[in-house]
Formats: sequence, C-alpha cells, structure tokens
Amino acid sequence: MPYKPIEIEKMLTGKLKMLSENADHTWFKLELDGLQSIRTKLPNHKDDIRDKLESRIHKQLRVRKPFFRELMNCTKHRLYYEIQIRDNPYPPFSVLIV
Amino acid sequence: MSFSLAPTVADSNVVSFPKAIRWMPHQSIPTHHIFSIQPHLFGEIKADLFIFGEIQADLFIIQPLQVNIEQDEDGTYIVSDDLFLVYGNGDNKSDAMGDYTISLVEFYQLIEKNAAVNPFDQKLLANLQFYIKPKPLKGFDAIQTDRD
Repeated sequence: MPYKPIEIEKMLTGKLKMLSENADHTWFKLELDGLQSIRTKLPNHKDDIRDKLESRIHKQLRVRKPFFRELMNCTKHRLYYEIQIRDNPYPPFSVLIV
Repeated sequence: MSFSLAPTVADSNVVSFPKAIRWMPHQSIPTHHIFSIQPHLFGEIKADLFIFGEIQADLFIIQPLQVNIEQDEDGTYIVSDDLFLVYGNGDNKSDAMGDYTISLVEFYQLIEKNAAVNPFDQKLLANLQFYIKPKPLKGFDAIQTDRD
C-alpha cells in the first residue's frame, strides 16, 4: 500500500529524529558521527507516493526498499537504521571518492 | 581529486562528446541545456540525458550531469541522478525537470552551508563543485559584455 508524504514525514522526524530544513521543498537531515550527512526530501504534493518515487526516497536514506518498509511499519527502530547505515549503506557513500 | 564509479559522466566527457554539444571556452553557456546522446556513440557506456548550463542566476552546471527520466505508476514523472541522489517530480517531464533543478540548487546550498561543520560534507561539496559552480566561469562576464 502506498504511503502518504505525511506518513513518511512522521517516520523521518519521529523515529529517525531527522531535522527539517525548509526551502521550496522540505528537506530532512540526519547527522551521524563519522558519516556524511543524510538528506532526503519529500514532494510538495499530498498524494500517495508511488513505487518509483518511494525508491528515490529510500535511496536518499541509503537503505533498500524492504528496510525502508520495515522502518515505515514500525518493525525497525532508529538504532537498527544507524547500524545499517554504518555497516551496509545502499547506495554506499563511496560512490564518489575524493 | 579522482572520481570512481562515475563512468557515464566523467569518462564520456573526456572520451567523445560530439562536437555539436561540446562547450568551448569562447562560447557562451547555453541556458539550462538538456540533450540526449545515442547509446551507440559510446559503445558500452549507457547514456541517456545530460543536463548542463545555468540552473539559477548564479549557479551553473559546468560538467554535464546525467539524469534519468522515469514515469511512475500514477503517470507522473521523476527526474533523478545517480551521483548525488537528487530527484524531482511533476505531472509531466518538463515539470519534473524544473523540480529537479530546484532540488539540485537546494541540495547544493544545504551542503555548502553544512560543509563548514561536517568534513564529510566538505568532500561532498568538492564533488558537487566538480559539476556545479556558484559563479560564472572566468571570461563569462567578458563574453556577456561583448555581446551587450
């Protein structure tokens, strides 16, 4: 079942404790020690978020779809997310190497 | 600075952009120019759409940035890149591209702001600035003045 932007926003700010940054879009930022900051944004509309759009959001969060769904469905908590991001981010942070 | 896993953009730029779309220093920068390249031009390299030029009054894409355009289940479009993971969406391709460029500008500004306090974001900003520059290129003002 597709999620609404407000449901994802609740997960980002409530469960993951991401901070919102306002521009034309609302962005959400999470800073973890020793990692590049993680940023995602939500669309401005209030309609259902379909599959491909959802995939852009979980990519920005550096997790795969099943993990994202577990975050949304309350079976994964912030600690698991942090472990996942440190151990196995997807896509990895090393896509660009300086 | 060295890049890896960016073969589609970095290598294609070095290898063989057709003359018609290669930017030369004596030319003015096209405004928000989008072009497509036939895959056969690059052999194994998968090439779709590239975007470069002015995306905001004081912000330019100086290195062609590859973007993907997809249609979602509800008929809306999504434009995204695989390097910085920025996306834009809209009811049609044009709206999605517009939303993407706004999002890219916002992303750049947020990273630029955060780079002062996060060394990892400094590296990301350096990577972003390989593609995006905040000021006109050297000589661009002179070109504008000449034209005026």
